[in-house]
Amino acid sequence: MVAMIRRYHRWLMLFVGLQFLVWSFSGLYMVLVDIHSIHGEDLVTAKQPVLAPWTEGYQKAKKSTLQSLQQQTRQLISMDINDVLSKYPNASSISLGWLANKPVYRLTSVEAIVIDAITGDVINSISKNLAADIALLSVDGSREIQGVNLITDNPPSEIGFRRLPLWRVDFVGINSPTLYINYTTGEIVTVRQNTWRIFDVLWRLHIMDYYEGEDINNWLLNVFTISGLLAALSGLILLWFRLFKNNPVEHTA
Amino acid sequence: MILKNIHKWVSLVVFIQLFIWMGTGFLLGKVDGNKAAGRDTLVRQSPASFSRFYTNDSVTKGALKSPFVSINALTQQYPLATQIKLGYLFNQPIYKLKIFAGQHNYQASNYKLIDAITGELIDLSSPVLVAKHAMLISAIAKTSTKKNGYAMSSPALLQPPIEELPRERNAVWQVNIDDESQTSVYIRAQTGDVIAHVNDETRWRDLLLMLHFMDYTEQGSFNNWFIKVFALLTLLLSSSGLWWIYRLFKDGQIKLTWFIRNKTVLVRSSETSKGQHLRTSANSSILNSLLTNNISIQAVCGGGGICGTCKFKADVQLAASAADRKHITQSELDLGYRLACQHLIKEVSVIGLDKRK
Repeated sequence: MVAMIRRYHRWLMLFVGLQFLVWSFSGLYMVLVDIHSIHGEDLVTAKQPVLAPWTEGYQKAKKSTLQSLQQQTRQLISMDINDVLSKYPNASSISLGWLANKPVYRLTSVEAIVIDAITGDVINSISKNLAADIALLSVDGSREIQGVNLITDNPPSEIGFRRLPLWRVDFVGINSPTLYINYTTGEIVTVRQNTWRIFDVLWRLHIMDYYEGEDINNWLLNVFTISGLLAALSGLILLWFRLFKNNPVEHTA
Repeated sequence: MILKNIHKWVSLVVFIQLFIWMGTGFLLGKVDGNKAAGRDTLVRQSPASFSRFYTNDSVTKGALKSPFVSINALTQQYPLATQIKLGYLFNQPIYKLKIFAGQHNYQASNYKLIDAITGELIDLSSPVLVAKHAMLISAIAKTSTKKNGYAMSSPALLQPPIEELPRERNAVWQVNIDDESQTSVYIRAQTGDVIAHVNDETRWRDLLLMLHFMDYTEQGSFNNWFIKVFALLTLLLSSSGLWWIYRLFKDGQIKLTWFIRNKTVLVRSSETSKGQHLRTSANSSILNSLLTNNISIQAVCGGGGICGTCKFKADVQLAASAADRKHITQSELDLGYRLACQHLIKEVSVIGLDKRK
C-alpha cells in the first residue's frame, strides 16, 4: 500500500509541485513585506498643513498678540464657502483642502471643479510644473523627480481602469516610486513602487489568474487546489508510515 | 538524506496548515463577493445639492446669501483643521473637519462634525447618546439598507478592537437587523459614515480569511509572525520536495515517455527455483514492477530510498545511487546488490531475490 501511495504522491507532485513552490514563495513575500509599506504609506505623507493660517480671522487674532513681530505677508483665503456655493448652487459636495501648497475648493457638480480659494479663479487643469510640486510636497523626505508625463491613452496596466488623463510622476530611487495625479483635480489617484509591482505579479501567480488578476475561482486554480489537497493527503499518509510503521513488515501492493 | 529528513520533519509541522490553506483558498473562491461586501443590501445615497439653501424665490427673497457658518469662523474655533468638507448627516447639512486621517479610512483618525447652520459641535461618539443622536444613528442605519420591515436593535457604541471589523481603529456604532442573513450595520462614530454591512456571508468569508492568514489574534492582517514562520517552513517543504523530484530525474529513477514499452526480465528467488519471467514496463522501477506483479519484496518506506529493505541482486554492475551506497555495504555492492526502488526495469535482465530472514 505504501508503495502505491508513494507513487501517487510522486506523480501528483510532478504535476502540482512547481505550483506549490510558487504558492509558498509568493505567499512568503506577501506576508513578509508589510502591506502598508506596499501601499506606499511610508512614501506618501498622510499629514497635511492646517488651513487656519490662511484665513483672516486667525491672522487677526494672531496680530493682536504678536503686535511687534513682523507678520509674514501671506495671501489669505478671499472666498468663503458661501460665496462659492452661491455661484455654484448645484454642487452636491464641496470641500476646502490643498492643491500643492495652495488652499482650493473642490466641488462636484456635473463635473469636478477646482477653485483657487485665494483668488477665486477656476483651475481648469494641472500643469506639468504643478503636478511636480504636488508630488514633491506629498512624499516624505526629499526625493528627486525622474520624469513627469501626461498619460492620455494606453495606460499602464498598474492603474487599472482609472479615468484618464493622469499625470505620471516618477521618482529616482531603487524602489522606483510613481505617483499618479488626477489631471483635473490634482488629487493623488494612486501610488506604485517596485515592492507593489512585485506584489501584483506574485498575487497573479498565487491565484493563477495571469491576465486579470482578480478571479480566485478560476478552473485552473480549482484543478490545482484539488490536486494539491490529494497530493498533500498522500504525503500525510507517507509521513504516518515513516513515523509510526517503521518496523520491517512485508508490504505488497 | 538530509533532504529527505528536512522534508519529513517540516511536513510534520506544516501539514495541517497546508490543508487549511488549500481548503480555505478553494472555499474563498466560492464566496459570493457582492453579498459578503454587503453590496446587495447597501443603499448608496446620492448626495442632494445645496441649491435649496440658495433659492432666491419670493419666500426667501434672496435673504439666504450665507446660510452656512463661514470658513473664518470655523478656523478660529478649530485651528487644527486640515480639510473642511460640507456634506450631509442624514438630511442635516454638516461640516466634516479633518484634523488627521491615515490613508485608509479604517486607520485611527480625528474628525469633527459641526452643524453647518448653527456651528454647534455634533459629538456622535459619546457613549450616552442624546436621544436626538440615537434616533439619527438609527435613521442612518435604516436608510442604508434595502431590507425593510425587520426588527432593528438600538445602536450600541463599540470601541476597537471590534470583533467583526478587525482592521477598524475607530469607535463605531452597531445596529443589528433581524433579517435572514443577520445584517449588522456599522457606522463610524466620528463621521456618521456607514462603513459596513456585515452579514452571514461576510462572517463566513472573514472566518476563511482569518484561517488562511493565520490571523488568530484578529488584527485583520497577514503580516503576523505565525504565518511568516509557517510560510518560510512551507517554502522549505516545497523546495526540498522539488529538489527530491529533480534528483529522481537525475538519477534516472523517473522517466517520462509517451508510450509504455515493455520488457521481459527473469526474476530468481529461493521460492521459484527456476526463476520466473516477468513482462513489465521498462521505465517503471524494479520495486513497483515486482509489487504490482505480486512478487514479494520487503519495502518498508514504499520506495523512497529511505529504509534500505528492498535489496536485490542485479546481473550487471549498475551505477550505485546515493541511497544504494548508504544502505548496502561495499562488498555487497561489488556482488551486484542494489535497492529495487533505485533502478528501472530497463537497466537489468535478471533480478535476484535473496531468501528473507
